Amino acid sequence: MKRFVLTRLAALVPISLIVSFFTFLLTHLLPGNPVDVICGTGCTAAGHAQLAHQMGLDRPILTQYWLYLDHVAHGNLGKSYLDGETVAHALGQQVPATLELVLASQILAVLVALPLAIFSALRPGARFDRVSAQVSYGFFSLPAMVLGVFLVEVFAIKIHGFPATGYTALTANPIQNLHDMVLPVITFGVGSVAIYYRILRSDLVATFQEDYITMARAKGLPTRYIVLRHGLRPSLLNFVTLAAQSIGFQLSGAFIIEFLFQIPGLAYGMINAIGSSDYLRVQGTVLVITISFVVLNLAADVLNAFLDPRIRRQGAAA
Amino acid sequence: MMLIRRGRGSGVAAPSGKKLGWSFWLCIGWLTVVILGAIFANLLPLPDPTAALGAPQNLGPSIHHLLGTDKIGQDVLSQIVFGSRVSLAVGFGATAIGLVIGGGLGLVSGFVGGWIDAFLNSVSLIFLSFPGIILAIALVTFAGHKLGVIVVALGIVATPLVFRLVRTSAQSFAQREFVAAARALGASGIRIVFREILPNVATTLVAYLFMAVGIMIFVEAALSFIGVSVPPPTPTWGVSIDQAVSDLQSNSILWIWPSLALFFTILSLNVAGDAIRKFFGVKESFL
Repeated sequence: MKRFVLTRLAALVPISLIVSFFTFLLTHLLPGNPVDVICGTGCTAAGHAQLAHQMGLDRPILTQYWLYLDHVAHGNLGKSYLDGETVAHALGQQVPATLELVLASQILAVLVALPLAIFSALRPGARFDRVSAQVSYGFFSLPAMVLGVFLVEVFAIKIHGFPATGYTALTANPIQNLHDMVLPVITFGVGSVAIYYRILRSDLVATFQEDYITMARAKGLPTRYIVLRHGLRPSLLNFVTLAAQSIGFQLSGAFIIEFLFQIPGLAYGMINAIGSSDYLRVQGTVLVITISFVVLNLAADVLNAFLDPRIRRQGAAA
Repeated sequence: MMLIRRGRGSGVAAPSGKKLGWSFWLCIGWLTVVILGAIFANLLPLPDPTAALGAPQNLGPSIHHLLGTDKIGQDVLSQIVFGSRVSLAVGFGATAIGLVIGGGLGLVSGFVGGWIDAFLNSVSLIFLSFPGIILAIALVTFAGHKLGVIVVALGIVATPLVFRLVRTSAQSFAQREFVAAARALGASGIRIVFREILPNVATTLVAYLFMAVGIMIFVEAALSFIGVSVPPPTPTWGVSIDQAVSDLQSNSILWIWPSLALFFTILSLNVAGDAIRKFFGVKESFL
């Protein structure tokens, strides 16, 4: 187990290096030139060259990358050219809101999807299964802004039950924070329910056809015991991996939701940074989100190994 | 020669006795309407989507403006019909890029194996370590808000996904008896790839391509909703929704129309893809 985790952790190093190199290249190879933007409209050639020199852009590209890595390793992601705030500080402010949104909505999604999937998988092809399969397709195809706007229209504008936009930090006022987050969390969660339901259902159906489940039934064990003790554990394996992978796809939902509800998280900050051509903030956000995604996938692999002894041995042998 | 031909047929799941069902044809019908509308938008009796034309603002549905007008007097139906062009161009364009590059490399990688496979697989894993939306936003932000850039950016997102799907599928078919038989008969590698493996991989691929187009349309709508897609005044569904949201207080039904167009298009692609998947007996799996 220890060896497996260590091998996976070792793989993290080259992946992080490559990811950071790509992120670094973004501001350097693509047509939009940060110097042009920062220098502004009344930019002279001399001023342009001086600024490029200040930013170190006239050095060889590998030297620049090395400096960039050195800075990143010291937690220095650069400064916003707009207000001089360090990117790291700005991102630090944004992480809690995004984390709360993602955690709350994913917990909600699993809590809803799991019982639905179990109930469907116990009688595959029965009416409940067929109806929920259709409904899940509907929700899977429902873009977050469509559902989000619908909820805002009904619960914020017609009923005045919840605020349409706005965010209070959890530490400032927990009650107000929960009140603000209800609509965003539901919007985000519903989309995930459809994905999780489909993953879990197809997996549980396959698991329930295994011989050891028939054996458990033959022994006369109660259904609840079979489902929870024998059925769920192997199905959770796939679920953990696929759920972690699906976060990459679901992140588009986070962008839509933070934008729609104006939650000052990473995605909303990135959208604003794009709007004001604040390149270093965009670059910093890309790096932070991508590395988190890589680490999350790694965590899913490790959790998988923890749940399934077979993977553990394979991993140690490799 | 004969044996090779016969071998090719043996791998394809026989779809005899199965039907695609009415929901499939309903979805194809909707997609046909949307595609024809996008192609012939100029010929339809619609006002210019970007011109206010002095029409009254926030008008309800009427004979002159079937879905009414928005807050600056633009025709809503026209915006949706013309807006579908961006969605469809990105959906099909990005998927086509993914199909040609990812599918081609996946076929080679799965069939040839060895260090080529190991190398291509590692490259695909690197691309997949970027969340798709982040990669797309980053590329569009730094390379410019143009339709071509968005299509290529989402094509880059789609490529490793199609690659992995085709690679896995090609690997499993490369070990089947009919490929061994073709090899024994002295068929060349190129011939085996195109005549033996490709037709089999294609059935799996078709089902997922529908869903891929749906996902690409979804991502483009998300991008244009947050303002990282083609610049105004080009109408897109995402921008239409965003504009309707900013005006939700005074016109509470405007957001429904582009939302419905987007929802039904993505739903149709998913349902049609799933129907084809079942029709060919392809096992369900998440990409």
